[in-house]
Amino acid sequence: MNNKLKVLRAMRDWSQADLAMHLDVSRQAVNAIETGKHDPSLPLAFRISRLFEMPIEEIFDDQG
Amino acid sequence: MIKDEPAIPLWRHPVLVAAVAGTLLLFSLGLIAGVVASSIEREAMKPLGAAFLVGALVVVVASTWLLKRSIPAIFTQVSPRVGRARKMLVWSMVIGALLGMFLVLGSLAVGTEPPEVFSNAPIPQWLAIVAIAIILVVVPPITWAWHRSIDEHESEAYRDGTLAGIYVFSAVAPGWWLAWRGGMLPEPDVMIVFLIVYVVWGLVWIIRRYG
Repeated sequence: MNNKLKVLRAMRDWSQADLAMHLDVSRQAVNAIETGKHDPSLPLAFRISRLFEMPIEEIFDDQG
Repeated sequence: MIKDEPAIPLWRHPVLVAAVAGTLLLFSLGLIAGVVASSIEREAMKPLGAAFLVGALVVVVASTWLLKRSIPAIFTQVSPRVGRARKMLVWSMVIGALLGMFLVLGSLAVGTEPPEVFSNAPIPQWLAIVAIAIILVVVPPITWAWHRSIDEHESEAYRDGTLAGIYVFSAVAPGWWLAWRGGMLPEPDVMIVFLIVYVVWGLVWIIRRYG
């Protein structure tokens, strides 16, 4: 699944480790989501959505 | 500009470095105990034994240095949940090391041969009971706490490893058993099967997690 996570964290000047701290996951998890190797669970997707104050479907795209 | 730190190569990740260094340290200490015990018994040390002893001492120094470097890095810039999970992992390694050392030192104390890796040689009953108690009483709560602490990506990697492990077990165990009954292989050894499953399980977990 495509996502804008990398762009969104870049806009805040966060590293993967910074984002991982905000989401309470590991840096490996952030890297796996950004590279499309891991699709986040619904609870984690909601945490991401709340963190960036954007709807889930604007961050993740299952059509791409 | 997207801030993207370079990916850490699998072989340099502090968690893996600590795991490998801890394993090397444990095996080296076991080797040293075995060589020293054998030399005391024979009242002499063979050149090969001396070479093993020197090699093991070098590995002990190197692995201790690697552990000292990698363990602080494991806990640097991680969220509370990840910190907890890694603490559990370190505790598991410490308990594994203590269990191994306990088996070696216990065997030496009662005068039996130090157990080789997955040896089937008899050990004293009390030693077996204490080791089983550690496996049944100490390991499960740590494992439970670890599973409660890991993030969903690690959980998925672990599940993939477990699935690969159970499929390998489903092939190796009956395959070896049938080969034994057909007279092609010696009797199946449960600890060798365990080792094969454990290696596959661990490798898939590590590759899915850090690869």
